[in-house]
Amino acid sequence: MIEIALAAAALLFFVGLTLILLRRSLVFWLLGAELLFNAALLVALAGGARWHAISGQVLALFIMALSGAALAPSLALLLRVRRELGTLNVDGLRLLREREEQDD
Amino acid sequence: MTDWLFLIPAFPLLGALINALFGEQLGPRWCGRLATAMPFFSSLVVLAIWLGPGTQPALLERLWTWMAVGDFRVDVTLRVDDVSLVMISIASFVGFLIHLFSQQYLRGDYGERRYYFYLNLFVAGMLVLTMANNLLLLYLGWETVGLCSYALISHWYREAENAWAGRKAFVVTRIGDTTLLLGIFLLFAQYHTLTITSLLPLVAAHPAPALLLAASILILIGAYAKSAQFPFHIWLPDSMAGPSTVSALIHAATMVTAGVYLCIRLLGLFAAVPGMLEVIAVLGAWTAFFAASCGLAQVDVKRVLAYSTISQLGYMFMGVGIGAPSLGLFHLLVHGCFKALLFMASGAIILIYADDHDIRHMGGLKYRQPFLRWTFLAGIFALAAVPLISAAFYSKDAIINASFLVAGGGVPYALGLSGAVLTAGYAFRLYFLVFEGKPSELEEPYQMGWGMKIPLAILAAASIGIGWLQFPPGWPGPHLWVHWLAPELGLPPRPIGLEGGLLTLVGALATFLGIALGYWAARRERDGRGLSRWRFLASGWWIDGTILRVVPAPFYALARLLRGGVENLGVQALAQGGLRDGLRLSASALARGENGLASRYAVSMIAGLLLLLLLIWSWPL
Repeated sequence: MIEIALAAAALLFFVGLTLILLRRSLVFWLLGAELLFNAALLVALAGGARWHAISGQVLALFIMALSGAALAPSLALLLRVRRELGTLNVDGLRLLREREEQDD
Repeated sequence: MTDWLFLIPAFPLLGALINALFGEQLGPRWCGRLATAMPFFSSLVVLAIWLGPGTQPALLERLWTWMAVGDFRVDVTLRVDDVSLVMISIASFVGFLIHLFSQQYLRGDYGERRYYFYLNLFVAGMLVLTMANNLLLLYLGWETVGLCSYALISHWYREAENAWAGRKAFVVTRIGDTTLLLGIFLLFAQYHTLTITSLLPLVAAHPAPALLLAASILILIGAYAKSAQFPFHIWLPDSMAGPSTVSALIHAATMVTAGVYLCIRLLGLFAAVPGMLEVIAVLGAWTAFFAASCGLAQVDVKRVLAYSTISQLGYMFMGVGIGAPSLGLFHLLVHGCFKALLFMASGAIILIYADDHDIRHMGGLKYRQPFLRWTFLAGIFALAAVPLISAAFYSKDAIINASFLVAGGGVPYALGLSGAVLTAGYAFRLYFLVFEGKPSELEEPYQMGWGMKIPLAILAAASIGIGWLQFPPGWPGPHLWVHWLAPELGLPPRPIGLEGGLLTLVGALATFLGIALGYWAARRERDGRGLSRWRFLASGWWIDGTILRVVPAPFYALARLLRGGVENLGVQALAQGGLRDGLRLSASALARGENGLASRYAVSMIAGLLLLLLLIWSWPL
């Protein structure tokens, strides 16, 4: 039972990772991050069910609250970035680097 | 019961502290007043000791343990016995008078606040030095006075010569400081204690001849450098670059007397080495004679007094060496009074002649400055040891006469007696040139205030009268001093009867001969063919020049070698070349990664994570 849950979690994690690695858009990065959170949530739930421990569900609730709380300011920032810079490409967000080093 | 002893050094130290922290807000006038009050408070505490508990037995106050490692234990303990009571009385009270005199003397000078800071610290250092019951604590005070003398001699640092004189004083006394410290190390290695009161009985009980010889020579060099004895005297004539009040403080109340004090304090150590005291006596007498001969040819009013200090300190060492330390201490007290007087008066003279130090340009000052003349004359009487009416007649002549009685005292006696002739000679040459004769037209009107007159008057009275504490043996009158110090220092040899009378007569004749010599020298000097044209005497037997040519040269060569070899090749090439360029290369390599591309950061983060996982899996746990 737990093997299936772990495999599903690994799949979720891998998809999230792939999203972050392959896409350049901030929206997809946020999606990927949410998938990573959910993978961790699944592992916590599965572990809690396997060992009949309440802490697994507690942890899952915490992760949901945390990812929700993290998502709200992230989306706000995303909107702000879109409005100020006109792009959502993460590689366009280079305002803090030194001007003269224009390599790659 | 005596838990207030710490107040004596604490007052000037507090003054220096307040001056350093809040002197800016106080302003120079109040800095000076504060600094003057502090040694006065100290001298009130000292007065309380005189009036109150006395020093039989010696007063002790243990403040705290400075450091303790194994059997190495240093307590900050203050001890006041008869000897140190004399020293702290001089340091605090004469120090106070000098502070008071400075109020008008240095008004409007640049660096007044700095001056008063160091003046207070100087007195505090001297008080710690004299009250310390531990050689290491004594060394702390010793170094403090060395530092302050350096800072005060180069007080007018805007002229390069003054700064150079300060450095010279510092470096020369530094040699002595180092040897003193080495001597202290040797004593500790043998006896495992640095507390003076427990060290001296140990030395007497278990003498270790070779080590004691080495330690006493090293400590003696330290005392000689501090007290400007031959051949370490070369810093003292140049130290005249400082203000006259500083010279008064260095020569009378603090610093140079520290060497004599150290010798008296550690007399048991020197006595344990056979022949050591005789060497001290001969060297002291030689210095007294040598410096007196140099003083006869100086044209700078302060340099005359500088050589006289060297010479008078020689008499004190001679007193210690012939086994009459109480007379040496007596002369230290007398000298403290009249030398502070002479230096402060000469400061006033220099002001009157618009910063001209050359006594050949002076003359006839007695008509315009009668007060200055009489007080200065009192100091000159004391310096020349005029019979009956000057203090030094009872202290210096007593040392010379006592040396006649000691076995092997012939050489010190002859040197000391001829030194006495020369002393009276240069003292009265100085007086005749400055105060007698035709008035010089270079003179400027100058009005001394009460702040200057009171210290001069007190010191002039002391220069005349303080000798009456101890009349020559067999004379009617008080014989307080020697008997008071006898439990501490023993009784000196004292000539009595016909022999004593003859010796006193010879000493008096020497003084009168010297006065005649001084009159003759002053007349020749006026005519432009005086002793100052004898280069041999005027340059101090060429000793200063010779030492400066011979001794520093190897050190400069070594310094150049170190700069060329170690500094340029080693440190610069390695540190600046290797280290700096290496850091720059690695920094630029790292900076390349910081390109601001968030996607690349993500990739490297994940790669790093994978690497860590791989490491954890493959690690044999």
